[in-house]
This record gives sequence, C-alpha cells and structure tokens, in this order.
Amino acid sequence: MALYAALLYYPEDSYWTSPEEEQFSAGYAEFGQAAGAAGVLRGGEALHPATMATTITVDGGKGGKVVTSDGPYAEAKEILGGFYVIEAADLDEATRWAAQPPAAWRGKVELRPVVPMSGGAAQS
Amino acid sequence: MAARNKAYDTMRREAVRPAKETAAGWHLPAAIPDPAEEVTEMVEPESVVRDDMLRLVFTCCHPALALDAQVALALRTLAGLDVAAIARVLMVPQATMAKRLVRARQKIAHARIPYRVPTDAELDPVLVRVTGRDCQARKGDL
Repeated sequence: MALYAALLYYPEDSYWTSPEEEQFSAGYAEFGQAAGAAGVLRGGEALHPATMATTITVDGGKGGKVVTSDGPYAEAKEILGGFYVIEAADLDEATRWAAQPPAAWRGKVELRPVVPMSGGAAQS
Repeated sequence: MAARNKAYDTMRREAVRPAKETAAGWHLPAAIPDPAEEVTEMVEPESVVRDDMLRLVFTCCHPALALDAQVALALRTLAGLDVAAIARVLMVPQATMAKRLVRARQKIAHARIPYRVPTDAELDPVLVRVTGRDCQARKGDL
C-alpha cells in the first residue's frame, strides 16, 4: 500500500467556504464516510481561504532574516482548499477515490505520492 | 499481494543504467530499473491475463504519464530503441530524452502506476489512448 496526498484545488470565485458551495458539503460527508468505512482515509484537513494565508521565507540562509508576506505563495486562479491523505494499492485505486469529493468537479484534485519515511506509518 | 510487493521491491532496486540516463536522474534518490526488464520478472498468479508485454503496453500508455513520456517509454521498452535513436526520431536532444525516460520510470515507481491490463469497464477509453483511435466498434474482438 502507498500513501497519497489528494490536494483539493478550487477556483477562487467558488471557494469551498463560499455560500453557494454549501450545497456540496453533503458530498464531502459522503466521501468521508465511504473512504473512512473502506479504510483508505488516513487524514486530511480543510483550509481557510488563501486570503488568510501568510507566506514565510528566510533571507540569507539558516538563521537569516524571517520575511513574512500576506497571502499565498503563488497567486493563481485556483487555490489549495484542503487535502486528504489516502492509502491505496496503486495510482489507479487512488484515482478512483480522488474523483469522489466535490472538489473533483468544482475544481481539481492533485494526487501526490507520499515519500515513505522509515519507522513511519507510511511503510507498507 | 506478496507478489506485488516483491515486484515493487524489485522496481525500487538499484540498477545499472547507461551513464547518460543515470546522470539525468542524479537529483533523485535511486535509479529506477527499466520496466521492460522488471515486468518480465513479475509473477502475479491472481491475474487471469499473464501477458507481460500486454501489461507493459498499458503501463506505458497510462494516462498519468504525459503523452511525450508515453511515446518515449513505448519506443524504449516496447520497440527496444536506445535513447540516442529515440532522441533522433523525436528530434529532441539526447539529454532531454534521457531525462524524460528517467522521469517516466520514476513516476511509475513512486506513484505506483500499476502493471496490469485494465478491466472491461476501464478498457474503452484506454484503448483509444493505446491505439490512438476509437475502438468501440472492435470491442467484440477482444
């Protein structure tokens, strides 16, 4: 088994916390129940909008000046709205799950394989 | 499942690659063996279809790989062309082609693109990709 981060991207004008998106919350509950019952859901969080983001970088290497800026790292039409951690046998199985939360048709879901860390739960 | 795990272990194993391909993948932890060599070592008793070459065709044409990577991988692993020949045919620098092949192999290994023949339900769109045309009319022949 392998872990995948399913990153949920939303068009900024229909972010998941916007009122018109409320009708889709049942879809997330449904996905959470199905994926939870199947044992593939290993974690995940919903994120506040990108306008709430703070981006941090350190100037001049380790111990250098900490520079913070208001907003997300990359200004884009589509923004990261949350993520799930999915455990699946292969990319095809992970894809079937990633296609189910409403973000898949409201925006896009990016699947990123998680690097297994020795001693971590990700080892199969 | 044991067979699959063994297969993935095999895929992750260090393998000696031609120098250019190895150099192209220097920034990643381990060189990924050529799928053509690895697939033939795989045994999957639960699978009805034992045709390794057919599985390799579907792996090379998996939608998670970019089209240019699919083409390069097919020429390398199915047609057996070497990197220099593929680079010439597709008119890209040899280093670019080597890098493209390394990336494709690494994606197959790290993202776990499966070596298997798709199920009937998955087959139609896949065949369009594999053959480059709509195979609806030929479904009965399969």
